Amino acid sequence: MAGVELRGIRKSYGHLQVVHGVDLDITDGEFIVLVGPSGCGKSTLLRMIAGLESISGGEIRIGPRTVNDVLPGDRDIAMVFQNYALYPQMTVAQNMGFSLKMRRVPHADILRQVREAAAILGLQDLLDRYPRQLSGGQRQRVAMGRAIVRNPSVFLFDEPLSNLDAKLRVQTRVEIKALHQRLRTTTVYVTHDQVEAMTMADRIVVMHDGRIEQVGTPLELYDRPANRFVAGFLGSPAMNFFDGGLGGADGSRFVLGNHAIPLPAGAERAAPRSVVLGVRPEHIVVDAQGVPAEVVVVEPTGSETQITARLGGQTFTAAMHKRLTAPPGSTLGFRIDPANIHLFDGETGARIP
Amino acid sequence: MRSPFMSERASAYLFLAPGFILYLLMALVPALATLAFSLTEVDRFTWGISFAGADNLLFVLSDRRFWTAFGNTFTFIAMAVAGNVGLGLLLAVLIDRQMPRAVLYFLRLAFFLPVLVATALVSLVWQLLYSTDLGILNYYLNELHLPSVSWLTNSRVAMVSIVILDVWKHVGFFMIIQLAALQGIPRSLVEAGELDGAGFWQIFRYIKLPYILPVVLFCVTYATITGLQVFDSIRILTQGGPGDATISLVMYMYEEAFGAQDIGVGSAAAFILLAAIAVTTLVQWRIGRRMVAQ
Ligand SMILES: Nc1ncnc2c1ncn2[C@@H]1O[C@H](COP(=O)(O)OP(=O)(O)OP(=O)(O)O)[C@@H](O)[C@H]1O
Ligand SMILES: [Mg+2]
Repeated sequence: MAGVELRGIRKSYGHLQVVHGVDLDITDGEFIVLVGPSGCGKSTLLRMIAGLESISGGEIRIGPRTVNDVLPGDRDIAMVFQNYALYPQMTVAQNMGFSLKMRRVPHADILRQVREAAAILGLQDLLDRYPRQLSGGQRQRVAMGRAIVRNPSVFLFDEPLSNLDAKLRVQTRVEIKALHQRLRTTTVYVTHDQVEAMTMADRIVVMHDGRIEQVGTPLELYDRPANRFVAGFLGSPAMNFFDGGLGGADGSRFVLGNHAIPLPAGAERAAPRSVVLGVRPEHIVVDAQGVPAEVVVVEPTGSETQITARLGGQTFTAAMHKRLTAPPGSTLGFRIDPANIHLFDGETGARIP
Repeated sequence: MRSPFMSERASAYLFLAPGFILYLLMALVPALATLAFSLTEVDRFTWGISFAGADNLLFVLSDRRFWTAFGNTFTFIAMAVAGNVGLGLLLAVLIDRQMPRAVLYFLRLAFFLPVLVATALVSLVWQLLYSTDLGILNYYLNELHLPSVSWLTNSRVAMVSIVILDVWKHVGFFMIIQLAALQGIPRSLVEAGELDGAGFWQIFRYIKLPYILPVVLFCVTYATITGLQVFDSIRILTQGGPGDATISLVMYMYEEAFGAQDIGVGSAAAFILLAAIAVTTLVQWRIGRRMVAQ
């Protein structure tokens, strides 16, 4: 087992730079989730850790050694690919044992290790099948089996669940997490699914355009997003943003049209003129004494009710656990909980403390 | 949408017609004619035709020269298939890597160009290269203080010389096909192999080769079928000689039909050739299917 250190990692394809200096310390045994929108460089970063992609600058350390020039097969890592990449002409057992065979492990030991890994994942009955004879979920499991069989220091996953149906995805997500709790192997997991990120990660790394936006535990990121991008990326339904300005003699109120929301003390000092107010849907409540807004649509999801409404030309979403109906076009009163608001700089998007 | 002029079915036949008529005139009719001829005897002075039954077939099967041609052809096939498919695969593996596009195009063209030139033309050039006294091959051998080789007149060497020409001419074709197959291998499979610690050779042996095996087997079958039909190069380089050392099945057939002007015997030989092609293809297909199924 080993930690992973990334120091100023850069990647360019020709003149196009796609990763701009990433620094990250992953401690031994940690489950790190890389998350971000499509094309932000998650896979590229993961593949550089794996050694499948050369790095254009910086240093990668796995455990005590720098692996910049170490071949993928010698980095003591295992990777689960999005399409699983099972060898089609080999049986499940041969797929799982291939890395051991390449390391000249004696045949009897290969057999034993493959059986042990198969038992962990419930693959015992599939060992003699070929990949084409397996369902998508079984293939995914074999790909994981192939990764755990040789007990590497680091697991790398690149969107391993994206080819599964919704139910299986949830189930497998739980299993991967349980597997990690059992094996405690350092894991770097790429996904663009924020639910996976929130539920699985010890720490989440949010990436955007080849840069790290924020690193932290899921709740840290959820409760104190460092900037508007992170705030909008994590959480479903997404955080509401209101463009507005500061008002009141001391700038202690957020002014939206002809409504004003009091800000927590201390915020106004650092506040520039143009600010964005962020509120999560669950922190907006329906209250007859609140600010009246026009209802656009009411969507019951069963466990909660989501209301989209319009206020001063801006739409926002509120989510609540009580059931409620209101016809589109009607007016409801809404109240924002001042303790749970986020302020961001209107220009840079950075959080204003 | 319905055609305003004719039914869909009729237009389908119309579109198929040119290809089908060509096939009819150039392949099916001649094949049936050959079958008919093989059962007859044509008097070459009066052009009188009489029914001969299995006489022609029996004559061919009891002709020692036919069996020489038969053996030669399969010797040729064994060497030419190994050379064409094997060397083609080796070249494909060497070319299947990151390289500037221009270099890749140049290499592909360089190896493929001989495929496009008529065999007869190529054979005439190689005849000059192979010439014992004036040929460039022996010139360089002598420069290296090696003895001259009687490329086309030594009965042990002549067949090898023909194979060398054949491989030079056709290897590009087999390279291109196998290169395309190699480039069709999903990248993640190779990457998984690298992560599993397999080296270049192991990745080829355990991942790439099994993946492209169906294509390699297709190449073997294709090379075998064309090998069974070898003719132009032999006719120009050695005329089947020295002695009958390089006579092939098609040459035998040609000589019987047009040299000895015995259309019946030539047709019978052609039919045996057809049977040989059918049997070889079937056997290779069976073996291939079993190998690929693994
Ligand atoms: N071989 C390549 N040549 C040029 N650009 C590339 C290459 N591979 C990736 N890129 C670019 O690098 C950027 C990052 O790609 P990457 O695959 O890492 O994104 P990602 O975050 O994994 O996205 P996704 O969620 O869609 O998988 C993209 O803009 C992509 O276009
Ligand atoms: Mg990706």
